[in-house]
Amino acid sequence: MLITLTLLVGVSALAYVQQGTDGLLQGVDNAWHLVLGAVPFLSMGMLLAGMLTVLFPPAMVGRWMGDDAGMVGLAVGMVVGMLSPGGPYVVYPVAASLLASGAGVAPLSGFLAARNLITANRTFVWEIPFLGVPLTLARIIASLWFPIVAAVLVPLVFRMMPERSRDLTRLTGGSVITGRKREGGS
Amino acid sequence: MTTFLVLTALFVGATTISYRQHRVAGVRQGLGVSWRMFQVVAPNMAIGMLLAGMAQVVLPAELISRWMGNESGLTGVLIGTVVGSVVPGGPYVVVPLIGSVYHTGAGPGAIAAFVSAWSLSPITRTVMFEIPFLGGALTAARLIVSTPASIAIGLLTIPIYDLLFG
Repeated sequence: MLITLTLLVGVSALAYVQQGTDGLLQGVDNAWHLVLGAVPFLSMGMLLAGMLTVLFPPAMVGRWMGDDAGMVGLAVGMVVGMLSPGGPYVVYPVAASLLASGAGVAPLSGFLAARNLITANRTFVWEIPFLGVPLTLARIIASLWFPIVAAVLVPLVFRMMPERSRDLTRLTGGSVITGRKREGGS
Repeated sequence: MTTFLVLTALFVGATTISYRQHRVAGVRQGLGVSWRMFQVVAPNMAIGMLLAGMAQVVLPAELISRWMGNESGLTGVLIGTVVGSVVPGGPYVVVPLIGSVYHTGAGPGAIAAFVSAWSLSPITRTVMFEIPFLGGALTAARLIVSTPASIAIGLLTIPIYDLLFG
């Protein structure tokens, strides 16, 4: 938020230097049109996101992906990743809990890739209102392959990492969930 | 408009199922999450929209269409990837900003690379969330695989966009 505020001040100053008060007014006017265009989608999107947390609680996500790490588990993980709402505040704790409950690196990578790249929530609430359907659709089609490739390649690269750091991954993941005191350093 | 109707239908459906499963408590919990989300997002969003509005005034249209426009090809995609990784903030800040860049003349490939890099390998979110929760090794492995993917997705989006809407 602080970074964004600083950016805003900087960009506004630039607008003022370039075009004076007219530049500032034009900027505010642009912002107002953005708000008007986005508000209906945003409000409905947030209402939907809240309700989805009732239907797909994090514990359920963990159960689906924790138990079977096969192709079915991967497919479920990707679909859940696309549908599950919530920002990084939700995603990374969930991902850590998946690791702690013994999920493989492969389905976890597929889940994260799908969650970050093709999440339904962000697409409807943000992307379509601001970028339009054609670009959003083309981008999603171009992205569909990646969760699968990530599920294959990330574990391969992960196994090349030094062994100590790999142990730490599990440790950090576990400590977050069980509330154990964090061991070791970074 | 269609999007709004689809969203409304999804919301009504989800609410109905929540009510069937958990009665009023389920609906109340869902609305509570929405309300908390709104409280967090609203101030950020106000700043984000102002930033995007000001950016439209300041962004050099010629430079953007030259470096990130349809003709820019790989260069535009690479610029999109780098900028997407570096730019901080959640969707309420970044997506309006991406919209400004798009409407100032950037091409679909550069924008798709921007969105992908911002989604897959954002520096701030990686440092703030991913490393603390998942550890350095897994994060590093994911980033090594993901960064080239943003470039590939950007390059793939160009022909797909042309094919469907060109």
